[in-house]
Amino acid sequence: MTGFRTLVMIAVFALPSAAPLRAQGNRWERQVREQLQRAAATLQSARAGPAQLTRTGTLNAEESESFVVTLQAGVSYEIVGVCDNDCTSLGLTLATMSNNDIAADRSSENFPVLHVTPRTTVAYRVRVVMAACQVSPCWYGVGVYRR
Amino acid sequence: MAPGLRLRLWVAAAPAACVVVALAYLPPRGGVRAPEPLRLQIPQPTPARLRAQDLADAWRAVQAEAQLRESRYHVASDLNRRDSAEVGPLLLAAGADSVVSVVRPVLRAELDTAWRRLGLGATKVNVVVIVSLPTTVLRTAGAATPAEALGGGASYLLPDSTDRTTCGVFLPAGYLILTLVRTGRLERIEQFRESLKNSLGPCAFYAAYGNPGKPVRHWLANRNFDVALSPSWSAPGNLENTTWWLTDFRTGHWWWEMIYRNPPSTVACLGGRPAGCREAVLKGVEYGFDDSLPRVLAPERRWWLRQGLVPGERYLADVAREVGRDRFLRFWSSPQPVDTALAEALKAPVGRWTERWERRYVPKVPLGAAAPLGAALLASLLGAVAVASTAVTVRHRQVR
Repeated sequence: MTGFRTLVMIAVFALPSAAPLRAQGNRWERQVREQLQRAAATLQSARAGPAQLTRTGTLNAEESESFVVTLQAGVSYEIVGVCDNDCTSLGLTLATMSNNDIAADRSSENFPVLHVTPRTTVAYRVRVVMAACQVSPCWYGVGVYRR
Repeated sequence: MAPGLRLRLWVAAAPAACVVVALAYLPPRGGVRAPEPLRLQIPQPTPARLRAQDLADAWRAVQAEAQLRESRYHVASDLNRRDSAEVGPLLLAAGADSVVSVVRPVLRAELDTAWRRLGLGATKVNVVVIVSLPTTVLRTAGAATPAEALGGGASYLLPDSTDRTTCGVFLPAGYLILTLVRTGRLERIEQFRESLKNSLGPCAFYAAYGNPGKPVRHWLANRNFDVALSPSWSAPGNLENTTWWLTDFRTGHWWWEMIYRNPPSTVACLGGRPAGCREAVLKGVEYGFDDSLPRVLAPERRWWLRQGLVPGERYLADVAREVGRDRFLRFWSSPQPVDTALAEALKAPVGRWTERWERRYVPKVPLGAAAPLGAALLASLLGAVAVASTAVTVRHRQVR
């Protein structure tokens, strides 16, 4: 598990972007899109499927945002969170719609990854927490990948 | 000396001393001033006028809010299309096409100059400047100039959770812009640049340091951003520009009427008391986590007459310049209480640092009971006379 995280982390932060990026958006938004693209490329090379869902946005320090994603029973997923260079701590939580946490990563600084294999096919809530951001707002990106 | 003579001497001396004191302190030299041909007085508006001014302020605030919110939708697509290499505020000039074509290029250039002077480049929080221009071309001075165009200062639409990356500045066309419209020429360029730079107000802070942390955001909102109205971190202020309205320009003496219009903590800070300075700075730090903050900020009319600090508008800019970007940024976005975060950034107690800061702009105001030099000398002289006469009397006393 730790090895996989390290592999994705190296890819996200060290390798050049696999695909040319659109010039749209500011440099912080582009940082996040680049990181998501690298994470996707690394996961695909590790036999993961394409992103089922990606979400980008902005959050001030100590703010959070949630979105809903439907996950299939018995399928393994990687949920990856990335953020711009001003962000120093990003948290990611997967919970049921009744707010029971299933998986959480709050200790991976600015690169949280969740590995989940749901038992039932239902809608889940992904919560992104911008725990620390030096210059708010910080851009974040979340990708949900099927393995 | 015979007892009868001594008694007569004392009976004469006591009224004489009273006469001396009365001459020194009773009118016309005492507390009541002689009529002056020109006396500085703060005009006292009538209740009707105050009511009219309040209504006008409320009307301006609502108009600014409506324009800012409306403009936000107009500029949203421009901001999304914006290339990241583009820096500087986005300018939206609303008015007659012929007027906009004259004013827009000048304002664009001057805004870019102000932006560079602030040391800003590409920023996370975009600043959108909306200038309200006349809807008709004005050719004669004063003619057809709408009163609302000349009144009021800039208003601000601050970023919030629905739009974290846009800060709007609503700028009414003031005298200099209207002159530009009439004559096609910008007068007093340096003054205009300075005023334009200051008009960016809190939005310049948001652009330079991002959205503040929750404690700082609540603190500033609770005090109507009075310590962040002037983004003057690139140049230190000076004493001359600050104290002119606290002193009588003819005599150079303190204008007490004006000084005591300020809150007690402000007066205490002017008097060199660190505890007063601390109280003046930390006014508004109390907040509840559920408090919702107003998004539109419209500084009060003549806000400088009721400042928490003098000159409060440049307080945070001076803190930023003095402590440097990194330390100020840590304070600005800190989750800690404001007093703790500010003391950490200043590396000094807030009150003591602020008292030193105040001295750069205003000399220490002498507060409390203080006898005038002349009165002290007279009292000492009378005391000395009394002691001396007593001594002389005792020396000649005869015990029978």
